[in-house]
Amino acid sequence: MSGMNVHPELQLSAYLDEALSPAEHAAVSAHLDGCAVCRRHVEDLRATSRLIAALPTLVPTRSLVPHLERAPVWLRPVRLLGAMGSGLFVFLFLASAVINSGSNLGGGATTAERLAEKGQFGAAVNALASDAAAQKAAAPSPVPAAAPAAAGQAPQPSFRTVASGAPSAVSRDAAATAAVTSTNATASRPFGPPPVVFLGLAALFAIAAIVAHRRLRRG
Amino acid sequence: MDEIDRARRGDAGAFDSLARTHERALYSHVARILGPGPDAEDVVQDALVSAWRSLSSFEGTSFKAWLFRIARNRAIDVIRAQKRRGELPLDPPDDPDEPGWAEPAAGGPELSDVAAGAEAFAAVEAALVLVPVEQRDALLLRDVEGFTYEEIASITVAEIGTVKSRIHRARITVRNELVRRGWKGSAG
Repeated sequence: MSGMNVHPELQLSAYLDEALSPAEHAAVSAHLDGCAVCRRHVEDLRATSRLIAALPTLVPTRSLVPHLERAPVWLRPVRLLGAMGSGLFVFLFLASAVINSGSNLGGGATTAERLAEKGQFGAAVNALASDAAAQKAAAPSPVPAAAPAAAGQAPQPSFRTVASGAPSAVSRDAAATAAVTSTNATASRPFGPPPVVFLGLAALFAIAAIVAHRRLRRG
Repeated sequence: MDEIDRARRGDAGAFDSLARTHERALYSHVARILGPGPDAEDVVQDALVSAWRSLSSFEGTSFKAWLFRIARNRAIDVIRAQKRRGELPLDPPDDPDEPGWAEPAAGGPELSDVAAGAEAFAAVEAALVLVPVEQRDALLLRDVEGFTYEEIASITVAEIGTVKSRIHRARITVRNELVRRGWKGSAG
């Protein structure tokens, strides 16, 4: 035995694989020159290594290469816009639903509407008359030239019959209902398109965002 | 521009070609860690998908080593999960002592004379199963795939000294099993 006093057992495979530093390699070589046991071990390791290297390649039962396609670049903005659009339309849906339900459930825009809804038709008529008078006084006269013709006449409310006479309770109620109905037809029109339209748009945008997201994750 | 560069720039066809080049070697390695079958196939396929998704992070010099690192890490994760669930026995702790050499019986063929035939391959495959997973992994990366010790250290995230030890112990385990099956050691 030369070069090393002990068998360099743990270095034999690295020696075989030429994975030792030059100094280590030289030391093991020197040892092997004088050690038949280590030479036999190296030959066994070499033979074992060759057998392992010669093993046939195992073959899978199917192709393992995934079907790959990088997602188009425009999918990211589509996903973002889809998510934002969906959120926006959900908000619009909720807002329009609240506004419309508010005007239908005692949230009348005028004093007359609110009184009529409570069944106080007489007071509603009076409120309507005073509203109309106030509007007329506040607004500039649309036909100034007609003023002389109406001189001496106090401005009359639209519901002259009701306001100046002494009609029966039934006719007063009918007039109040008609007035309120006509006011409702204009003043409390629904806010924008029906809420369900916003809900549908929100769903469409959400679907677009989800599809884009799934496609991006797959790619 | 080579295939790796084209794949890194998003060319799915280039990556497909690279994956086909290494598909069988990856499967063969993973199958010898996990055992052949659907689990090994799934691990390799998942590894290839993962490689495609993280291709931009590849900055090494060996694409093959990078692929093997991803695949073997997934295979080792599967092994660890199986051990946690008790489906596989735990590996014995690394023995700090030098591995022993089994004494060959007289009369058998010498290892160096064993022809690389079906019988020898079956014996080697059976012997490999006896090798602890981490050692088997290192040995196969060296002897079958031809990686250097430095590359194996990088793939397995281990020190060079650990790699040397694992390869050596694994070879002796396989050699001893072959000797127990009747082959003689070399005459020397």
